[in-house]
Amino acid sequence: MVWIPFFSNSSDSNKDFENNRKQRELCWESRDDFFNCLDKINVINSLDPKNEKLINQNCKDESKKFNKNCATSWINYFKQKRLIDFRNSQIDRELELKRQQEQIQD
Amino acid sequence: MINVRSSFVRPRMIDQEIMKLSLVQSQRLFTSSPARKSTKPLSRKPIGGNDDNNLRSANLEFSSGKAIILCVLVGGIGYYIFQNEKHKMDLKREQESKKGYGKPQIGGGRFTLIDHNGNPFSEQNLLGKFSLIYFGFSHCPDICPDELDLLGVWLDKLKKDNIEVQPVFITCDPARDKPEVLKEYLSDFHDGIIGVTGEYDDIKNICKQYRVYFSTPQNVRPDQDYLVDHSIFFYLMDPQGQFMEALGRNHDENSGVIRIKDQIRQYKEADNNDNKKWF
Repeated sequence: MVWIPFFSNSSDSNKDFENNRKQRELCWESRDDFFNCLDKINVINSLDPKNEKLINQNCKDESKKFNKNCATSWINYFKQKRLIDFRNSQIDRELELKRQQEQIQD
Repeated sequence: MINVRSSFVRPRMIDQEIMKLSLVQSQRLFTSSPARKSTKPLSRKPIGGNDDNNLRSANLEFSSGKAIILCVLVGGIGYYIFQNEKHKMDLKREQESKKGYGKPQIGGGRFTLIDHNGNPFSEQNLLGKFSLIYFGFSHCPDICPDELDLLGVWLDKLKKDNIEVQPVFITCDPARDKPEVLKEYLSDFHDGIIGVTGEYDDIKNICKQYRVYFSTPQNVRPDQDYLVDHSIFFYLMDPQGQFMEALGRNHDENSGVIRIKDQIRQYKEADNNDNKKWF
């Protein structure tokens, strides 16, 4: 298998990551594990330094695996996406509540 | 017994006989009284002419029998033509109503790119077959691989119905997605997906043609770790290389196939109608 290592020269990227189907599935799996762990400790924004300590205490292994199995740019993307998805679901919930209240008033 | 049967089988003949007889009788009634004759100066009969009953009845036979057949025949053909034209009009109207106002200016222009084997790939490669074009990049975290898997399911389902569609994957990230990278990347997905890349400006140009949001910075190094924002649509193109339909993320394994099949069927029907015009 020929693979041109894109990130070998870059200091901030993950050298272990190879962009193929197997590696992608491994990355998504460890992402889900990590996020499940964050759910348990009620952390939504894992990029916030305030949560760092809590994450290190409870989800250290999951975080390590996630960082190992995914490209660095993907890790940031998934963490941001978790935040956006959460906000969107919150907005949806608020809208739904509002709609229900309006129905009751009617 | 035999009489009853024959009257059953040939009722029209008997009707005609009766009509003939009654007419002959009525004419005899007319002509037999000379007083009446003089009171009808506008009679079509020549004055002093003979009653030509044979001719009269022959005319009557033509006007009742053959005329009815002729009338039914002409009416039938007319009805068929009318229905045919009406169906065509309905089809045309349906197509136009779906198209909305004007044709969207998506794709259809010229471009010069290269495929994953390093061969030239231009608008000429879209001619003569239906194509599904997807824009993405190999280093896409989650959406592109999902969509490419979905594309594979669509292609298999379409093939079952004997519909061949050429799948094309155009990268929005030409700095990293060189032909050999695309080849390697696409080997994970459905056979036959053509990876397409090119110079930065050429990729920027084709993204503009297809209204794809393109945010790739120009001076990135291939070894940098970055993501590329791009809009997510499958573009269905007709055998003339013209845009037919954009399929977004709302389509799943089934609805996408139905949409594509509908579009292709409509295209073929319109094509047939154009060829069938004989007047």
